[in-house]
Amino acid sequence: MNALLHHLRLAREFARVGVIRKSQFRVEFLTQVVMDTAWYLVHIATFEILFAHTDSLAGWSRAEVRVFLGFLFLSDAFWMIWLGQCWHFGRELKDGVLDSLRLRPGASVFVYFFQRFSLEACINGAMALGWLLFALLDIPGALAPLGLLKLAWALALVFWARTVLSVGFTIAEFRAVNSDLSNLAWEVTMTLADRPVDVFPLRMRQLLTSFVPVAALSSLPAAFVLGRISPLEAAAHSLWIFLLGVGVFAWWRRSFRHYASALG
Amino acid sequence: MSATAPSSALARDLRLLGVAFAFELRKVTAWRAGFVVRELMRSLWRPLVMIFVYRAILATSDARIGGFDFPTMVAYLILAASFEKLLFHQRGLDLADQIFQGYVTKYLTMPVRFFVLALGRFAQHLAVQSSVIAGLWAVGSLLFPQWWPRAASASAAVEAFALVLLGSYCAFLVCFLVNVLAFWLEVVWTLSAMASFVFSFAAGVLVPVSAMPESLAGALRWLFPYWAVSAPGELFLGRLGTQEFVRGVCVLLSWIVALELTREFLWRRGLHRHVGAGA
Repeated sequence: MNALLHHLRLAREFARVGVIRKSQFRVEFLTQVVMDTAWYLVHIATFEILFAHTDSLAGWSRAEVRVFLGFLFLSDAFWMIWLGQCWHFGRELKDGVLDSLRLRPGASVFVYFFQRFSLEACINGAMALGWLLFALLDIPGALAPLGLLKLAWALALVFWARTVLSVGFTIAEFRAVNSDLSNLAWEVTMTLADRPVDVFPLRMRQLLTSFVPVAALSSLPAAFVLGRISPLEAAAHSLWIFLLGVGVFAWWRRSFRHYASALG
Repeated sequence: MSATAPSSALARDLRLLGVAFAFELRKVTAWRAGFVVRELMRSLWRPLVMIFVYRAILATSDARIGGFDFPTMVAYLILAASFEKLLFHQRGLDLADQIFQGYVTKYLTMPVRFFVLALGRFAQHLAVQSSVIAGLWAVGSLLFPQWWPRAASASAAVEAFALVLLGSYCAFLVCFLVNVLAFWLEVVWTLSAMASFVFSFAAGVLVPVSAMPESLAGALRWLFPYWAVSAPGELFLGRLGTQEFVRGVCVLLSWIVALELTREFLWRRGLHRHVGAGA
């Protein structure tokens, strides 16, 4: 409990520094908000155009895909708010600038990945939440008390899965320095997460809901809130992804022990 | 005398371009894992994943999207992935970093045109990606002959390739322009990323422009991304003809002129502002 409070205090400090930094860079603030908005619009436009040609996408209706997009956007916003540092991991590992991470006051995974708080992404997070709530208005019972409970559960799953994947992909950089493997993994992951998982063949679906739980970023939480999967199935997925995360964090810490400053 | 001066400057630029090209090629191949990830795999995923989306819509019925049945859509998406790989990529240029960190200054004191060094990157990108695509097409057409796109005619293939090359130069100029904004802005990666999202959509990488609502498609036909990916794909498949090719060349050349003028203007204004220590 003490450790949790300590890390929450660290998170608050990262947020405070992030707010101060962004008050200095106003254009950066604006461009990032506009960038993410463009990303949302491109996704919405793509699916709206597809639904002009069909009524169903692998069993997902237009209203359901809108909910799916809401989770995708919120997942992205969480990533931008808290996990932006993961983009720099490959470069920082190569340049050997991670020494101080060993001395910092907290779990190395938490301190490294959560250090770059983004205030502007909070604006995008609010927009994403707005879109999700708008999409849920079309789903009967989704905003009832039980529906809101499921929504909270689904969001917790999304944020946990985001963190697990962010940390997990960087492990590849320890093996192949300056390979950009983690960024490539994200590029592929985001491409896969951008579509409802049911469009993929069975084996691929199984992979995306188990060892590389990309579906937990958007498809699984949307399916749970929409009643496409049962609470029991959602609980099984959640438990598995929680355990996977614990394993991934341990693996990252173990890889970091082999870090030497002069890898480049 | 006055006639020889420009020609000697051009010869010097061409020599420098050759040297810059050779060094860029050595640099890009120096990290093998990075080379595989960055050069071989880049830009393949989005169009390929869309194959599954279209399979869900088209494969089980006689449905068509914008006149595309499923096999034609697969061929189009393979073409879109190939052409997108040929387009200059934002990660190919680190001019913004050079401006932010101030070390662009050292190039400015040399008796060479800085833009020629950037052109070396462009030439290297085209050379590497053309080789990668040739390899992918050789393997793909052997493994998946029933799905792999076939050119409607030799001239259609040549016309498509010409449009992609012109479009790639437009993409290179846009990357250069966004990077040059580092003279004024604290950060430009967000603009690059935004340009990339909008470009993919406008280029028809995910949904062919001809499958979009007519008003939107009509507007996109005035932008260079359409003529860099979607139109060459349709030309290659014989869905567009030489008349559209000529229009595409005109649109792309107009964009190149506009972007070149903007580049000259912004570069000069930026240098006036530059103090060797970033924005």
